[in-house]
Amino acid sequence: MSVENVTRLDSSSFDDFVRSHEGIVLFHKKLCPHCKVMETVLGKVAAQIPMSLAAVDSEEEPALMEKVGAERVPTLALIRGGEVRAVFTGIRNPREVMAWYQGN
Amino acid sequence: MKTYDLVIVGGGVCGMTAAVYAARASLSACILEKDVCGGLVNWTHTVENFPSHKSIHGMDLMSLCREQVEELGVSIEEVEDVERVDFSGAEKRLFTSSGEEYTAGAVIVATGRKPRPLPVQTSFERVHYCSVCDGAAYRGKNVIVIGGGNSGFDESLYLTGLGVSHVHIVEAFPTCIAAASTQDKARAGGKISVSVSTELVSVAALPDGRGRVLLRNTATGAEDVEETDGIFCFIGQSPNTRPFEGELDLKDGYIRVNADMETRIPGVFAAGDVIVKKWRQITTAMGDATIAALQAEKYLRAMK
Repeated sequence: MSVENVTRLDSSSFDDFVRSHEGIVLFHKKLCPHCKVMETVLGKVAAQIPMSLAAVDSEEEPALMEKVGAERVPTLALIRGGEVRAVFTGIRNPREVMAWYQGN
Repeated sequence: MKTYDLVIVGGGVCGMTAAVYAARASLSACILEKDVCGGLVNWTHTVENFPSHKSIHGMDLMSLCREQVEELGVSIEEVEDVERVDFSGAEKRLFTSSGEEYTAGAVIVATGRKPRPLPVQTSFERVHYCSVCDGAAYRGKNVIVIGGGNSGFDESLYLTGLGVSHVHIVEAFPTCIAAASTQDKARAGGKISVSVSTELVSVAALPDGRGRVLLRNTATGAEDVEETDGIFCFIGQSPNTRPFEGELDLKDGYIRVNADMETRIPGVFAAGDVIVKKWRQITTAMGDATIAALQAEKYLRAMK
């Protein structure tokens, strides 16, 4: 993931991140065009709403994919209150992601 | 409001090539891209017809292009969709999804094309347009690929490489138009079967999440039912010209231009897959972009 200030997570750091942050985790994959779009979308959203951004490589961390119930990428996991509050797979524009983030 | 000499709508290989020429001509230029730069090439698993690279992933090739464009000082605005344009005055105006207005003395439309959706209505949810994004969920399963063009065969090879058990390519026409070498490679592996003269009639969602697909042979009328875990659709593209309807001269949705890539509006040029033409390749898009950018520069110099 190329957006700045993004924490890369793996199975050893995921739970700690969820417990201590509020934001969005992007499950992505190398050379996935939709994932690249969502990286840029999240960068724009984070520029407008203070939040933590993190990324999980779905190929390196299949157990984490299973943990949040994701089969495909890009998948967004909304982290709030020490838990995964909502999960969404697919493409959304910045306005839609903001509404989703603020509504969950 | 943001003002440039030249606004390029679309950040695929065409738009980025135009940007290189614009920057080298010392024009202030901006690319407005509705997704991320790279366009359809980003979706191409392997590019093997681009001189200088024997074989390269499309996204890697486009990353190299983007780096070059950025280094030349071109502004790149991604996830910035042009929703409306006003080309009536000398200053061209473009209005985007973020609420921003861009103005420029000249515009190059390089919006390319987008994948066509599955041609039947269905409640079956496992319909996909990107094997890299969605293919891993089908390891050990069977899928149907709609479309026997280069994309259909390339993506089928990618899917079997991922571990998909079997891919059934369904092509409506009597022959597949994919490159012969790709077809040979696909057929040789034993995991890909091909049906030509076969159209998709309907897809029904089954309680277990799979789909029941009705296929019909267009030559004999014979019908066949097949159950599948997922469907990947690669049946070509349609042009991205909606914001330009009523402004530019269109034929079947594609923009009419002359040999200098000029549209009917002075100062507005179009290039690449979005224009009326026969061949749509990476290299032809780059050729169009070169002409459009040089012509735009000439136009802007004449206007000063």
